[in-house]
Amino acid sequence: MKNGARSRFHLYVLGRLQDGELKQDLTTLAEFENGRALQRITVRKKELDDLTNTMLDLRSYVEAGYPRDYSVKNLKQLGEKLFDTILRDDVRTLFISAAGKTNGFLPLELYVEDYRIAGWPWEYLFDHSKSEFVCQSFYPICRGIFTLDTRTPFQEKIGPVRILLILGVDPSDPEATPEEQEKWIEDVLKTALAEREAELEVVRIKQPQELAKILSSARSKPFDILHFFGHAGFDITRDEGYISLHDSGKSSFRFYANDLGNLLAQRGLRLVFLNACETARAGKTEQPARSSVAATLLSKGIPAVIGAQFTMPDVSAHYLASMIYNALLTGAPLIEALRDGRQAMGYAQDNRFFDWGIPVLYAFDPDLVLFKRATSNNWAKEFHGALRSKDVIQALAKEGPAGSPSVFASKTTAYPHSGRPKARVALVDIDAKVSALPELIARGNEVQNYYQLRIAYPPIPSGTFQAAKKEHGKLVMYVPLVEKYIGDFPVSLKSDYVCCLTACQIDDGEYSDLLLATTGKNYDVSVVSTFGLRGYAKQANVPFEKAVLYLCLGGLLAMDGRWDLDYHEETADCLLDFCNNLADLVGGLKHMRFDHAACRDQIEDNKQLRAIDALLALG
Amino acid sequence: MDRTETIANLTDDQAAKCLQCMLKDYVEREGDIAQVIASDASTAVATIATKTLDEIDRKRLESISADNPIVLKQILRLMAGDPRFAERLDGCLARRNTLIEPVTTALVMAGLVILLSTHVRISYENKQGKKHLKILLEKPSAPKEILKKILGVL
Repeated sequence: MKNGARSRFHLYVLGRLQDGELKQDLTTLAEFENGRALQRITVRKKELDDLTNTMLDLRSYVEAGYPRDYSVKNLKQLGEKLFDTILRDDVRTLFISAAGKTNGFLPLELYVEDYRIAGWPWEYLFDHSKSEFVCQSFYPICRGIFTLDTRTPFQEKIGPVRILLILGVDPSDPEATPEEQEKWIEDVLKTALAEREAELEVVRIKQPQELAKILSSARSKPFDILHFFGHAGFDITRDEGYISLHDSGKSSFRFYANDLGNLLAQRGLRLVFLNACETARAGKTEQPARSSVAATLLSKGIPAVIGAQFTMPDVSAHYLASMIYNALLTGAPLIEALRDGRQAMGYAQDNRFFDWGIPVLYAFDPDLVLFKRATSNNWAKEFHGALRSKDVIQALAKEGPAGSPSVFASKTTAYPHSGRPKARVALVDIDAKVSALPELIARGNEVQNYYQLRIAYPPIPSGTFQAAKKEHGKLVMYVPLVEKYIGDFPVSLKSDYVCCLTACQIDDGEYSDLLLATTGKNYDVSVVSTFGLRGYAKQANVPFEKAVLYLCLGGLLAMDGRWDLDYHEETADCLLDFCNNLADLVGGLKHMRFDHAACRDQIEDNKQLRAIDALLALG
Repeated sequence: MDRTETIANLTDDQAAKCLQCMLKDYVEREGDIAQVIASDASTAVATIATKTLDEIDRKRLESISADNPIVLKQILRLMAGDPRFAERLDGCLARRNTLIEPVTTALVMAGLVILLSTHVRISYENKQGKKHLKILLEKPSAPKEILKKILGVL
């Protein structure tokens, strides 16, 4: 153990099961500090078969939504069976004692000898006595492998952390959004990149030799983190996982675990983050270190690998990555960063109750710290405090000290005109993550000088907004709960108007599925929902970011106190259509002009009208 | 919206993904069929077709492209009408976008293998150390009907 390193709970499950035996023995060995506990477990065939079927149900539900009535109750039952299987008698006593002795987190490192058992979904261990999933509480799970590799850990990193982001999928892929992954990661790292604490290289790889070339050319300045985003799978017939490299056509290259491991070995990588499906899935007839992509990489000497044991939902993958890098930047150890990432997956729209257990950490050192931070850095404490707080929005509105990855990162888009604008507008992208909006806004500032448009990003997943509530599984931002805080945004962002962009549906207390709600002391803050907007934009053949700007312009007109303008019931393909039926928005987006006489005629400021026309005409 | 309507409204790509989802689920549960789907789907279907269809229909079946969207949707429709698949299909129709890699690119043939496997026993046997595909067809009427329904949409 390193000096000052915290204690961990090590659990070894030893023995190999044979097919068809009615009763078989396994041994569990637990270690915590000086404590050792050994326990023999007898596993009966029927119990094993039941457990296997229960796990098959979980996999089937995760992959294909069947059995339809599978619920969190079933997941808890599975977790309880897993817990009771490996944490019995003396081993459990030692675990309870270790938990009682530890302040904060107690990483649980798990080593399983039997191939089949090694692939079980241990992240869902459920402690019935405390009614909690172990991994979600204070005992984040890290998997290890049996290895003869005795190489010493890497020296502490000096200089910027180098990240290689590999996009293995084409932007036109209907299932994956690689540009979003890139944007989310860039957003999070923004300050670290500016401060030269991190370097990010983004590459689109179609063939393994391209990756080999990049890694070879980086020999003198190796990458510390390799992040893969794309498709992956597990080849049942070969009993080996793979990542998939797609070209722009339909063909793809399956880069199998062992081949990938051989390529990545001895490259100086400290972390490989495989944000792709089934990259931590292990085979039934082969040990994880030869079948699971993540475990294979670990066996090749990479100290830590994050993978997924089931399919990874595209949107949740962005939340996971965003939050993990957020936490790493604050100096958090990897295992805690992953815990934050798991939590954030629950904030994604359309999240499911099992999502948090999909990521798996294989590591020699779960307490690996990628970004070293001096403990005196106040912002890290504040940042963590904010994340833990139930009142994150308040923290979001606070500016951090200069140079820190502030809780509220603003991105000013240049105003290429002399003189002052008539109105300064901040677009706060809370979680809509409109990737091409900055470019559109920059062009918008060029074609008119009435509005100065700027963008601000809170670099944490919006789901951390505890003020949001869920309705019928959809995330809803309940405006009365957040208005006190976002009402201050015009002052903190030095803006006349603020448009907050959220992927949630908006509930203003009266309607629960609004596209836009106006709030703030001076009615100068609009909350704009992009829920379903990608689909409407697609139908209207308008870029998503343009559709967002369209909604914001409507909000700006409604907030402008000089004119008696408000949203109208009549659908006139106007910026101020109320859109009782949200799909009515498609007409307005297609039209993309502000020529509804009843509204336009009320505006007496021709310069403002010209600005709106110019913004709507942006290509 | 009922299943048939939902299937009709799927884009070609969504239909393909939905069938991939069904294939993946099936392969997970019926491990023996994985090898057939991965490499021998066309051979299996061709063997069944030889025993059930005339030459003209066999050639029509052979000429179907691997991801013909009309046929993919027809396979999904037939699954929707089969109680052994219907509820699982609901789950696949409601699936989220994921980063999973397709089980196979020979989607039509793999889908047919699944449909047919409830009426035909498809397995491997070892002969002198080599694996051979073994097709056991007890009642040719059911598989014939399925294949005819597939050809019917072309």
